[in-house]
Amino acid sequence: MTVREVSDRDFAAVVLGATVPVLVDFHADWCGPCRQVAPILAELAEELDWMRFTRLDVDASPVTAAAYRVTGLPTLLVFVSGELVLSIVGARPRHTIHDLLVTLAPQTA
Amino acid sequence: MNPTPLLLPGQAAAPPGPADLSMMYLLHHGFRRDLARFPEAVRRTPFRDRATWRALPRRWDLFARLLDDHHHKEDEIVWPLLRQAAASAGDHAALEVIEAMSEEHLLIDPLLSEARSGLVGLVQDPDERRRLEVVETMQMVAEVLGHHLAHEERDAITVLQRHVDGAEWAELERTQLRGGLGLRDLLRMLPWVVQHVDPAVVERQLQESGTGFRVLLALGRGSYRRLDEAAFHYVPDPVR
Repeated sequence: MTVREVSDRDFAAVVLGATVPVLVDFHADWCGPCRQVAPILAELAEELDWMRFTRLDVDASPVTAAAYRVTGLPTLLVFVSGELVLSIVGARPRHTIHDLLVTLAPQTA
Repeated sequence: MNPTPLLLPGQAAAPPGPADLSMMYLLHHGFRRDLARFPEAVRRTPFRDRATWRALPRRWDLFARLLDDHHHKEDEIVWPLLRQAAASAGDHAALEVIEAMSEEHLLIDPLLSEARSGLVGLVQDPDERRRLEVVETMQMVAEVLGHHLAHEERDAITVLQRHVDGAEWAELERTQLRGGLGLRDLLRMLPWVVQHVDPAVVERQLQESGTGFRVLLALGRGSYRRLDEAAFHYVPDPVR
């Protein structure tokens, strides 16, 4: 699955209205650590197919970034049924992000 | 004008101006050097060599304390000085740079904690999967800190050179930026600073800093070398 770009315009529909968990990578072109995290998220998007992965450019979409008080980049927020359930502020290695996300995997009986 | 700004390996920039930032650049070089070596040490050290594994967290702690001290002094002394100067001059671009510096410091701290706890966990419970994770975490620390140091060298030092004169910076270094470390770390700091630095650069720095620095360097060299060699026993010379 690919990482989809979202913006102020479609954030509510794509993220808050989703029926699956959605990760939003708040990033900016000038943010070096964001460039370290982006390929990790692209890999995880392939592996964790029960989750939707999105990216939001805070310069192009400042309203959403302000609404969620994003002050450090990158910030990864995960929403389930429109509710914020996980926040990771700053770059983290792949295994850390992976281990946090799998705790949100839907239970299969 | 400081005539020849120091430009060390890995350094992103040396903005010209009246202040001599040599000591800051030497510290940055030390952080970069260490963060090239730690992942290699974790990758290469055999689990059977318990003495080297016990030395690695002690060597990491020296690195982390020096980095924390450096960031603490910037947050408490340097950035407030620049913020005040930039605000007085109405330099809004400079104010944004200074805010970014403080924010980047905050984002590095959790990564440092994660790297240390991973290293300590690996010492207590050797495991190949965990080894790869610690290497990955340390590489991430190197990348994130590398971005921050480069941002600082390019943009924050440009602000500093614009708003602080040479005498003011020298006085600040002499009265506020030195010290603050415990005696053991203070003695190990200078040998740590000059490690793998061109001897001509070291000599120039020692000449400018006075006899006290030479004495401190001589006093701390043995202790630092023992700790460093114990931790980086398996790191080859190009990285070491």
